[in-house]
Amino acid sequence: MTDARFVDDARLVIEDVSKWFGQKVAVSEISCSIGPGVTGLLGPNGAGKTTLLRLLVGLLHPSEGRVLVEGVEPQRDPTVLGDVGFVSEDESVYGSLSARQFVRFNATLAGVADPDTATTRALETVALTDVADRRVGDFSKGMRQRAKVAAALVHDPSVLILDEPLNGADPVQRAHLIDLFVQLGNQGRTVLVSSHVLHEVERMADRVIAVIDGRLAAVGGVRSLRTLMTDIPQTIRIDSSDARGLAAALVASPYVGGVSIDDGTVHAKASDPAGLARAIPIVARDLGLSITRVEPEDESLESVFGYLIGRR
Amino acid sequence: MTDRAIIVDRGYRTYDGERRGTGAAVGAIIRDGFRRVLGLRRKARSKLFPWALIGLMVMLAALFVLIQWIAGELTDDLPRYGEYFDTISALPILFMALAAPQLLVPDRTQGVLAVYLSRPLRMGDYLLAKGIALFTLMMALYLTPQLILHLGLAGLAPEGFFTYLGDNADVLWKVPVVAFVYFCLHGSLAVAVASYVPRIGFAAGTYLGIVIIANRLAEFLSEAAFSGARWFAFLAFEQHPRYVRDWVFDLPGQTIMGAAGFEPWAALAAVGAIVAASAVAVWAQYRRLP
Repeated sequence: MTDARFVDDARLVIEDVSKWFGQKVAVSEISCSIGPGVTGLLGPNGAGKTTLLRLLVGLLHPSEGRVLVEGVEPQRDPTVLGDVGFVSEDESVYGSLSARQFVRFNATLAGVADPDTATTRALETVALTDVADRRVGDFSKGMRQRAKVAAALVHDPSVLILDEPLNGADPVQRAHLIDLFVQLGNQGRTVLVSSHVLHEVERMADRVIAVIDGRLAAVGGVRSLRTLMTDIPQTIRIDSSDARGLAAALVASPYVGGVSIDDGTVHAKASDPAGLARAIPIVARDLGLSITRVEPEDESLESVFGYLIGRR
Repeated sequence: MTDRAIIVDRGYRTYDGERRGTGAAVGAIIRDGFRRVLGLRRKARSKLFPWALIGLMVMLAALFVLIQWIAGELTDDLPRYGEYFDTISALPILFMALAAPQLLVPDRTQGVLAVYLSRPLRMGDYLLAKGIALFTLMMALYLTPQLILHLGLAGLAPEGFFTYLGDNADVLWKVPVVAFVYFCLHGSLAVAVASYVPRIGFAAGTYLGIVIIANRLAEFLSEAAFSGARWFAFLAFEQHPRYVRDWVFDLPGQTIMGAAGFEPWAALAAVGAIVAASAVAVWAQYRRLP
């Protein structure tokens, strides 16, 4: 498949989907697909991420277009949701139940034949066993999030749709959940995670889908996306034995739009990154410099996402 | 060195067991409904109100049997079957005021509808499951004391247990039919209110308020001296099942509908209309959720 919006082994397909609420357009003509592995869904607040996820789990009907889960429209045939786990952005827990009761209820709701075993397994997975019999209402936000993740995992789904699952979790819990999502993705499950914490998405997602103002802004791997942004010079960080000499030589080259020096490090705005990569060793040789480090500075998801928003 | 060890994080382990479909989800909601209304697996204070009402209804039936056992004869002075609905009338209404909001309100206010509907369930399945849970609980509440009364009276009957049962076989359809009409009226009103009101206590109070105030309004307005005043008798919601009960059991009851010159079938039709209107109101609310 040549269109980067789509993957060959798609489990979730979004076809020309629009969703509006009265006069407000929440999602506009989005088309893409999601396959096994972890995919990050990015977007500023109000971009339409939650609407998109709710369309995928059948909580909302598309105003136009259609969504397919495992090849089936969930609104037409909700039985397909038996293979889907969903963590909602809302609280969506019964505060009066214990974590065990809540997860077990989800197990029975999902038709798990042995809900007790499945509940124990899911609680262990999110490291809530010790507090399993405490009321969810008394939990911290992060613990409630883990209870919700356990509830979404209890029936062992092959598709997981997670709306801001890391919200409120402390750093240790976040790391644990990220590892878990990566592990689930590596097992061949389809994990779609929305988040506004970009560096965490970067840690877990092989592929990102960026939605801005309800429209699809970008789809793909972070580095591939950055490479595509040819109109925005890439910033390259270069550590050398003579920053001033190197900066003067680079600024004269046709591959660099500008340079700055910060604490002995050269930051070069490359208008042609490939040309700059070829030029750096030549300049170093000619000036007799030693180069200790060359690396792109703005290939992070945060930079890419910032550029995407900035283009709007 | 120590031989003690612990594996803290076992990573994700898959579940290889069976997974069932919509039927299992509906069953889970029904069972959860029973637990929620009856306060099962919850703190003692959650159990207090529902079980006090159940206990009172059952004890009254047992008490009537006991009195007749002590008296050594069956008497027509104590309520039976049709009349028993009157004797206990306030208790099922109170139970309904508790049960319907308990079943519906927390799911909306705690955002849990998304949990249900991201499962193999449609909104219709969800509402059906809630309806079945309420129906089962209320019918059990109406019928259990009647069963105790029936079997108790049969046990005391001078003509013998089975002869009494045979002679009174008609109550086996009359009591459930009347209980069903009571359930339809009160269930539909309470569910409609609980679908819109965001607090359990407020929903219970609103439902009770509607039942009481509408009755008073009907009483007052249907006797007023203007043309068409008698049509206000239809506002006496709470009395519609009672009028149907009088019809089924052939009892000489006094109802606002009867006093206004309406036949019992009009009360039955009014119950049907209230059920239909409530169903439309509930669907209108839930079709736009979550």
